[in-house]
Amino acid sequence: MGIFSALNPFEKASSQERLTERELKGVFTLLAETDEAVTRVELARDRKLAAEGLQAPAEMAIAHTPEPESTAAFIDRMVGFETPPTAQPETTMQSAENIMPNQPVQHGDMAADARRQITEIFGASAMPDGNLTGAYDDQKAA
Amino acid sequence: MIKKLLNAASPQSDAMRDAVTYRNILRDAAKIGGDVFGPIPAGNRREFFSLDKHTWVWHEEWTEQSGTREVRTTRYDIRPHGIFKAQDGQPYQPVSIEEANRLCNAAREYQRLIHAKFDPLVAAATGM
Repeated sequence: MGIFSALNPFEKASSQERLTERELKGVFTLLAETDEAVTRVELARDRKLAAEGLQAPAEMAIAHTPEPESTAAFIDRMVGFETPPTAQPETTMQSAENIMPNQPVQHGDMAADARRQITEIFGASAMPDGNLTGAYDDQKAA
Repeated sequence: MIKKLLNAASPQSDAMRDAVTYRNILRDAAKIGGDVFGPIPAGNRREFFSLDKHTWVWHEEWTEQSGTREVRTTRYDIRPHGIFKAQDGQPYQPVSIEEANRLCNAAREYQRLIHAKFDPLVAAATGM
């Protein structure tokens, strides 16, 4: 069975079929990584709030948000682009480093690794211009 | 000789199978994560998930009225000095407090959905 199982783990949820050892290992990894990722993003958000003297707001009803007129507008609203992405000011590697003075200079490798992973998951269409990371890749090329 | 070859190939195959299995699980989790933002319009593909401990990804594909197929991937990196995002070739930039709150809420909801789906399976597999 394993990866050649006819049912994926989610389908097994409704079929009562048990996970294989390999699938169980993968699920444990996913749950652990997810829990850690949630903790990290909340800590980062809380640090940002504390730095500005604010407290964490009440939970927002993010699900069931009414759809706006277009998907592009929806994405822009959710990810906070006030203006179209093309109108965003250029951020150079230098200025990014100023924001993160103690961050090791490894963004290029990290970005390349993430790009490879995203492409593996979604296929090549996920990276239409082959570059999700902008300035970091430019710096690496230089 | 054949046994030797099989032994040599075995660890790599196991690692590869582990990787493929995990990728399939992650791909399914990403689809579940797409529901975090509410109903998905017909013809859209929306996925949201944590790529690893410090990376969140929102991937969306849709067709404009002109018939053009659009793709937008937003990636959030959680770093010691803050939350940064990159979107389809745009440079990294720090997120606003409002966006950080939305990301946290989405992450929490994703976590809830994933646990609701997988916890019963884990319990069944481990006899807990």
